[in-house]
Amino acid sequence: MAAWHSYRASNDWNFRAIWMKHFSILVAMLLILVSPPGTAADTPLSGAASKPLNLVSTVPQGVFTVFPKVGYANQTRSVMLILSVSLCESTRWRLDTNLMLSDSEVWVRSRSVPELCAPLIGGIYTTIVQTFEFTPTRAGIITVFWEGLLRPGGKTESLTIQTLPEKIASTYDANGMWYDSATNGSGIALHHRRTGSDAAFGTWFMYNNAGEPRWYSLQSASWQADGNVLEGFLLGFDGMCQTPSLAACPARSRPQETRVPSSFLTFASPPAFVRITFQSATRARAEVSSLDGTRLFSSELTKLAF
Amino acid sequence: MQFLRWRCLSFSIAVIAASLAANIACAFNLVEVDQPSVTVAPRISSVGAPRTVFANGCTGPTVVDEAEITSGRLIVRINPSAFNCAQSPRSLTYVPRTVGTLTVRMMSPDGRVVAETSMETAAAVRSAVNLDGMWFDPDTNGSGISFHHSSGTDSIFGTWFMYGTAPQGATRWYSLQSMQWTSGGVLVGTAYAAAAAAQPSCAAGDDCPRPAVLVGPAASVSISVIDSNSLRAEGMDRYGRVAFVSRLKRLEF
Repeated sequence: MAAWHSYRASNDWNFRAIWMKHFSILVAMLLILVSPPGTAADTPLSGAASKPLNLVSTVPQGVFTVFPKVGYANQTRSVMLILSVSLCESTRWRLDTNLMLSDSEVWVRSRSVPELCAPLIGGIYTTIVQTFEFTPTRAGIITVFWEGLLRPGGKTESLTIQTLPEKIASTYDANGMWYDSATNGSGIALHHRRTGSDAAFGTWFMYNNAGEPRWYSLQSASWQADGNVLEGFLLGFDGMCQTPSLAACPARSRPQETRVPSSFLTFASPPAFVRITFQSATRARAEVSSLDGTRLFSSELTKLAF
Repeated sequence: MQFLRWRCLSFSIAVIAASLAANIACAFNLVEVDQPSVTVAPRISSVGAPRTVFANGCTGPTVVDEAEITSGRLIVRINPSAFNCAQSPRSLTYVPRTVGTLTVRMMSPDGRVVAETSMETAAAVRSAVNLDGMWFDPDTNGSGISFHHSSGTDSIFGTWFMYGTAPQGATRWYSLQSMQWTSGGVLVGTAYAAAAAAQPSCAAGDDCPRPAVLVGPAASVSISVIDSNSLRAEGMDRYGRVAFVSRLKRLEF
């Protein structure tokens, strides 16, 4: 293995789901198997059926991406494959373990094992996010290839990523609550330790199309550009409030991943990219897009003064 | 008006509520009850902090006609003609000027006590610990409270993010506002629920930032400081019953 990369591996578990280094609140530790008892609290707002995780309602087919594309030495990168597969196949897709790393290239080969898969369950598809990580240790340019055996025609795609010698420091203190006056009542609570680790994460409070409150977690965020841009993932979760008399309660989040041979599969709506560009200490523009680049929404944010 | 600065908005909720669908009071309560009730948000606060008194009830009287202080009690008189869920909950604002406990009674015109509660008023106290940060309970990892605490004004805004039961598993958040310190290092306030209009919908996807059209109290919240990195948070229903407890740890990052 080249000195360019340190590659995370544990026995045969070569791939890790996107994980929350800076946000252990949302680390799911236990698979909740028992369904909760029936709920007595059925509110008028709750009558509308909605999926808990649907920031990105249109599932992209075969999206391949690396995050972040510009990082610093020893910053872990995530290679993510977003696939829509049948329920049958979903437990059997895996990435080929023959991952290749060199000074300038990373190859990811993905394949399925259809011989293990029962006949397709009529037209039912689910989304899986398959992720692995690698950590460049030196500055430079790396090309990441996805030999997409899952894709029609076995098309190979590639992306280039840049590694800078040093970590980019933030320009502004982003800690605080941010809102867009056009969508007052929604907003993002950012937690930023500028004088310490410079780490930042947040929670975005918004609504679904039925008007119900929903939240998403901003994670894996890093400072980019001149330190005035924060990029990260927006992740959705669900959890089990098991107190039947309550409309809501604190609960563990349910893991949205499962182990299959050689990889982790995440069963969830795909994460979205978040890019927050700070124009000043109190003004910023947030753009949220799906992994295939589709713009989901943007917000002109102002820091709440109180 | 600014993000989550709902104190003013909540005071005028009577106006907003009049234009909204019935049963909305039920929608906001963490614990569903059908009985007529009177609630105060926040129930415990300091002198000079405005309180919102709500007349609730999906099957009970819901219109506030007037309020007055009589014999040391705040009397909220209701109009008995509105006796079903078709009427929206109404509210009034009351600003206590003295320290102590004030009984709040909702009464019919014939003098019958329909519902009763109390509000507690303490002298203003400054915080001993800055709560700014993210807090979580290891037992309910995946939920938590985000606090932003101004060291200058000592104001605190929080958001409790958790999971709902309808639909099961969906994320749900509540805004913690009107937070006031009481003696003994206890922070009290109200968890407000918010909702957006169904239209216009998100341009892409099903979830997006949208303006809130309704904000209402869902629960009372009491945060006890154990030490600078440990809190005990209680969510209480309109009757002051503890609905859940979280033993929170400050997230280090």
